[in-house]
Amino acid sequence: MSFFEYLHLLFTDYTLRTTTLGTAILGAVCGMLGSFAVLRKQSLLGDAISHAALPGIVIMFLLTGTKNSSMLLLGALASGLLGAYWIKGIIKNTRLKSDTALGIILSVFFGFGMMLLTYTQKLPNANQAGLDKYLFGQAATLLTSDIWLLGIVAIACLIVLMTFWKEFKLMLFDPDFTNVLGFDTRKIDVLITTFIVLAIVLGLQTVGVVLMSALLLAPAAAARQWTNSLSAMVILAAIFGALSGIIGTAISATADNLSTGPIVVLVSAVFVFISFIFSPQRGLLFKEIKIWNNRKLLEEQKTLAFMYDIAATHEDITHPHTVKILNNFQGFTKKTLQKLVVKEYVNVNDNMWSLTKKGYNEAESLYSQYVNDDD
Amino acid sequence: MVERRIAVQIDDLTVAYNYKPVLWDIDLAIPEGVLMAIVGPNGAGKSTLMKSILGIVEPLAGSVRIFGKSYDKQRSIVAYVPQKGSVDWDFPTTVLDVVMMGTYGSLGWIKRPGKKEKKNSLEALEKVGMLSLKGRQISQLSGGQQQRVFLARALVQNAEVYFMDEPFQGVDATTEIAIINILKELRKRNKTVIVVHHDLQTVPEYFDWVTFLNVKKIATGPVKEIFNDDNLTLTYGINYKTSIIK
Repeated sequence: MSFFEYLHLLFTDYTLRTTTLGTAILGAVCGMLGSFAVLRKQSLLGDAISHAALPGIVIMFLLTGTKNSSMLLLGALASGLLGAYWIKGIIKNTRLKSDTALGIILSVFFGFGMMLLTYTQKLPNANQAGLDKYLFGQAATLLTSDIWLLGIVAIACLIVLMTFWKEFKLMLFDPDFTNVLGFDTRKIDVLITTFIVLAIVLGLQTVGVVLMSALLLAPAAAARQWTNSLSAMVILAAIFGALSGIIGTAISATADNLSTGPIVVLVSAVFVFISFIFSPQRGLLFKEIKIWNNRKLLEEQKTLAFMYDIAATHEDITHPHTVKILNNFQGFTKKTLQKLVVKEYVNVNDNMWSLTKKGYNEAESLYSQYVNDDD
Repeated sequence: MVERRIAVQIDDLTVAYNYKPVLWDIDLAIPEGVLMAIVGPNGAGKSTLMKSILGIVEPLAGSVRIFGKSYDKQRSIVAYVPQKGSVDWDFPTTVLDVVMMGTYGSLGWIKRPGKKEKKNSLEALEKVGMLSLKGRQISQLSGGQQQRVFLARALVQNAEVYFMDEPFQGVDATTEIAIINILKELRKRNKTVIVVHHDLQTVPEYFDWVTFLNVKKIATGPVKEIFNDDNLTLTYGINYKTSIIK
């Protein structure tokens, strides 16, 4: 299938269109909110909340007997919020650290949810089949009404972010100072956490409880690599999230029997991978290249400085000396000498080298540069 | 001598995190216009005292008044410099942005900083000698520069009372002098500056008022009158001058 055929299908096929829109909006919302989770170092909160949502889904089914996704997600919302609330309670009231609290709530809620799930599957009621789709998600089951819900949450989230931008930024950077200035961090915290829980719950149908947190964190982690501004990071994360949804859906639609949720998560992981290696400021590749270049440059400068010291003992600074002398200097290589020649700092004739006027001035400025560097 | 107003009045303040009290029954009256050091050993509750005055830590008992009113009502005339290690400096923002945060309090909820706030922030940056670095990413600052940024953020608050938690920690001599000169200038303008301080040697030179703290208040008053071996020994449990092996 060519790109244009796919594009045509995107506008004509109901399921494909709904799924693409759904995963794109979900990815964008998760990217935005995920930025806050990442910067607050609460990356695992999303994981705990999504796992904590499972028992809520099953209990809701047991109580009402429907598989109406809105009803089930209401159950997920309730138990997700309960999980988040308990995590914060444990951190506040015990000496346990946040990772332990998250781990406990995650596994206890998920274990309870799995137990209920296996129990329901043994019930003599054909209706329960399909509940397990919430484990890994099933994007194809998205309906137009789900898209509307996602769209409304996305817009609400955007409005809240823009309205309280200043307060969010302040609390993310310096919570104590936020309180001192008179902003109640608990209120800001409740606002952020509520939206994170909402985004997670809405994503359960598409991506599932197990993989949901990846969609929250991956676009944000990738975006952080490319920018040093909070607003740019949030926007980029939203774009990465949306692209993950669109590309992931396309891959799973063109390849048979690949479920959408995991593919979307994998695509977002590709964004992370690329960002970690290739981003110009923080990427591993450029960092290594920078360090390597810097080392080479320092080697050159040290060699030049050594030659400068020798040349300075002569009245004529361009007086030739034997290359052999340089062997006394550790770190000297023929290659560095050649580079200095290319830069016209040094002339080499036979086995004799001499500084040029340009090289002499350069060496002199190096001295003052390193002496006066007061950082 | 003219009777000075009391800037900060603390009565019966007691704070406990778990079982043991961190601060026990503190009574303290800090007069307006002093530059005061709070000294005491590690775990003496110096930072906690500051945090309970500012409402970050909930005290078990006692009251704090700033110019006669509760902190809630006096927020706008109080500035705070936290320890620079209390935040993550890898946060994606710039020097100017951090300083502008000092204006958020007077703006209140939702309202964004405008031209006036930006101008004030740039002025504060100039005072601490950081104007040329206004656009720099904060992760690229040295320890001394971080401290200057925090100081500028407090200056923007344009307060009457300044609380600073170890502003000299981990900064080089140049920055230390720059900071103390700014603090002395604040005192000249009759501002009250309260500083958690560790370097006993510099107390007489930098400060005119001092409080010795070790869970309880040991002594408080003018440096000239009470900064002596007796109080130091009472606070630290050893005589720091004779305990160093010669």
